Amino acid sequence: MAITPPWEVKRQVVEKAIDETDPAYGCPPKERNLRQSLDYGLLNFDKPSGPTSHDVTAIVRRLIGASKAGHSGTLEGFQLRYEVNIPSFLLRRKEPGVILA
Amino acid sequence: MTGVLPIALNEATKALQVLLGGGKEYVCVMQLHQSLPEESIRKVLEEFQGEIYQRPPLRSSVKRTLRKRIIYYNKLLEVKDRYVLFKIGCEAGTYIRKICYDIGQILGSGAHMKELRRTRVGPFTEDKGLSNLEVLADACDALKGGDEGPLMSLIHPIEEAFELQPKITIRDSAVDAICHGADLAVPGVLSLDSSIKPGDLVGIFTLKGEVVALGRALMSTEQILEAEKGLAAKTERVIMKFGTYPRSWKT
Repeated sequence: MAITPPWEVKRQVVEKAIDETDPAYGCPPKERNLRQSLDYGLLNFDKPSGPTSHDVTAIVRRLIGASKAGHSGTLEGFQLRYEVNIPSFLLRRKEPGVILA
Repeated sequence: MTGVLPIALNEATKALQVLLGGGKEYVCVMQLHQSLPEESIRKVLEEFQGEIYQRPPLRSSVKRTLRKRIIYYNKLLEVKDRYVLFKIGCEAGTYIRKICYDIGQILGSGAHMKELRRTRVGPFTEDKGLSNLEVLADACDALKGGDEGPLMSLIHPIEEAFELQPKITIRDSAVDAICHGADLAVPGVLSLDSSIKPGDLVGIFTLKGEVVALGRALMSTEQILEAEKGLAAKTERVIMKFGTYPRSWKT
């Protein structure tokens, strides 16, 4: 029995009413500046082997200087933490990331 | 264990719920404990499709009770000696390590998971602007040098996380009420996906294509189209900051 994966489901849009949007408010996703992009943004990250998903997320958060970061779904690591191919400067640095000006 | 790991920043962490529950795809190397003919391996792999029962492995982060999970497909790619390479598309919360073990039990030889790479999380795939530590570190250095281009090119808008979800587009005048936690009422709806059923997780969008909130549908598409009042969706998680759009309700 084959079940269609969610990424192969075709979608269609139907209209109920028509209205206009006021360009004075909000901002289309493509026109966001860096600050806004970081606030409402995701990275499609390639998790390296070794560190846990949690570790990788923490490194990314520190690098970018975001106040929050979270990942979606654990890919298990094998808690050898500080030995595996992460440049050590990424793990140790304490100075705030690039964005926090 | 490598592969696609979407990482959300700041406000975007609120949208993670959608990806956590989204389907996943993996490529896996399984090691058999004795050599077996390719045909019998293929047959057992194909049995692991559709609805399966699974008890999470000993070392896992959830309660170890029997759970039902859907496997969308399970394809044998290559067999070499005792190594079996296969591609599997599955529902969130399926343990591939356990699938390998179970396959080994059915084959009679025993088996374990050797390597695993995730190739998809919901709408995010390997070929969709994948970044890694090196690229990100370089992009951050470029930014320090005043060039924000490289970092900008790595960041995906939060809206992409909702790509596979049914959507409802709403009026500007309804946006701020939802940002304050109100549920979505029918008069605010402008357009919607044709296949919404009550209980579906839906993305609530503005006409500019920004995501406002994650909602749970209370009516089907047909009901929303016919109704003139009532609640169309319950707001589960507000994503847009309030005050982005003007407040237009009276108290």
